[in-house]
Amino acid sequence: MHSDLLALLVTFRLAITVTAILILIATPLAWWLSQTGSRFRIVIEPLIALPIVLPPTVLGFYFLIAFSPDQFIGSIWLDIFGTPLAFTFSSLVIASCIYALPFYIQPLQLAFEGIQRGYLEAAATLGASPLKRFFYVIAPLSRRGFITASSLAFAHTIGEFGIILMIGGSIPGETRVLSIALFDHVESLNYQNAHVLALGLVAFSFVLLLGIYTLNRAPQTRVGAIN
Amino acid sequence: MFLEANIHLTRNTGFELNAHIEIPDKGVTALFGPSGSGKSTLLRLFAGLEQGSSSDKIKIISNGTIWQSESKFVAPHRRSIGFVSQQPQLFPHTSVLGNLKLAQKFRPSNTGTTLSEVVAWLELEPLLSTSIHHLSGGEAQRVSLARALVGSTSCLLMDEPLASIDAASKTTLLEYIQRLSTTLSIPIVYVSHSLQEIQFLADRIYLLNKGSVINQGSMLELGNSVLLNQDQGDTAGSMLFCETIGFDEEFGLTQLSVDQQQLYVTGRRLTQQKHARISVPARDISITLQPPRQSSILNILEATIIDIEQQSDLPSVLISLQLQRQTLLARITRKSLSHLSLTVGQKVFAQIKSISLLNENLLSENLLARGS
Repeated sequence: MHSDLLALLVTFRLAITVTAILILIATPLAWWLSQTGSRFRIVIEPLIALPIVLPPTVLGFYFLIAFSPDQFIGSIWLDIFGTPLAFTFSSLVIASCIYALPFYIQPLQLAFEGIQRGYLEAAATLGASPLKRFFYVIAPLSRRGFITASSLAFAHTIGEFGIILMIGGSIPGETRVLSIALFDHVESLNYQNAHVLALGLVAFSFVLLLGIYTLNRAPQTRVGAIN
Repeated sequence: MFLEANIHLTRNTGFELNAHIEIPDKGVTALFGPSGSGKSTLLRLFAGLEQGSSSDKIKIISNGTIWQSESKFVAPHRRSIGFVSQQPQLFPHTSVLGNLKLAQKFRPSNTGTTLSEVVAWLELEPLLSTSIHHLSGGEAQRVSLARALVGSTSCLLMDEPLASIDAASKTTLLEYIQRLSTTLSIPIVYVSHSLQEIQFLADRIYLLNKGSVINQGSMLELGNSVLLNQDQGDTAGSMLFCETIGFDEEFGLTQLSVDQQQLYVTGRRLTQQKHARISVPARDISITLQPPRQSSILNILEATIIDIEQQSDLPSVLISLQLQRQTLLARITRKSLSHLSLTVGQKVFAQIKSISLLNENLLSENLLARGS
């Protein structure tokens, strides 16, 4: 059981790290996508959405190759940090960020697109810089988008299996996450422990979704309901 | 001069805007014209909410600072303007007070109008904790106006602020705006297609049509011109600057003076103020050749016909009557025109059936002086 607790810890550490990184990096990207008239958008959007349709093992296979020390990303990593990237927690973070990206971007982009231009113009004429506009107007108005986006990214990272199997292996305390631990239990016919983990994941996912739906139903921010 | 703008702009749709606009440091400058005349676009250019395309020639200078030129563009949040649009655009995630506080947070300095001053001016105290979803259209626009004034603002730009609220709230809000225009020391640019609003508020007017300035000048010169009124149909009318003389206790009438002639309005009104603007619908004026001696109509002004505007397809004509400095518009039928054989230069008597007025504290003396 001790190893499963460790796996639980690694899993949550991974999910929290990935969600935090996405909030920092992918939020501006989602904003840009929601506002841009750029012709590159037509290419960038499908690129971001790719992980939704690709088998995770395909992504995992490419990550495995890219992270090896004789490849571009892997060698840069080795030069900077002095340790190989493959089969580390960091490699899981990088891969998971890309895997969870569409699940974070899409709901948030949709929320951003729903914000009436008039509110932003009002804020601008009131003297709000773009950054202030973001924190005091855009962020509160797209609160639900943020909740949905973060929850989905978090949940998808927790449930990830194929990619981690390909690039992470099963190193306890480093890359052994819950879904891998569950797989190991099943492989060794240890069904009782497998049941505990599986049921735990089902319960967790249900509670998370319940939370999202409850929050999104709260009649608080009726964006655009005035006029 | 608060603002000077030279605009040459062409849209993909073929719409062209060519205008030279000067906004003085004080008073209300109105941009007036039908929809599609380019007045709102001008205001949005002043605010920096639009900047045209690279092929347009736009130069906007405010108090010596270039806001927009071929090589420069100052973003709206750096222009310290107050902007009120047709929709109140109150932030829906916070209360009335929250909206005002956000404005306070956004404006860079602590100088300028304080939050409590704005609340007092627009009498918002009872509304402060209200959710903005529970405000009426007029109240929401009043909050929007307040929000635009919190902190340090160099001007107040208003884009059809009364266009989407009900008639009763319109008058109330118009009174607030009028009071503000005398309280504030900043220039106001007021965009509207409603002649009545402009007549009650404006000191100067730019008349726009299809992207060009057709005419411009002080309200005294242009306010009652046929040019402004010819497309107004039944709502055509004049605005007259008056002085309040006193209250007649015996009959309950307030006495006013327009260009040295007397007018009466019912009730004790305007007694606190020296000046007022009154509005007289053109259809409520009838013309007689002799001073009527046995008439129930109190308000009769002696005037000279200076223009007769006839449109052959209409049964009525618009007649411009010169008082001393000001002019008055009368709409009569072509039949009456022919019956009385009215001609330009003739002395006549205008009987006024109705007068409406909006309070105004401090109609500037210089405005009257300027028009001479």
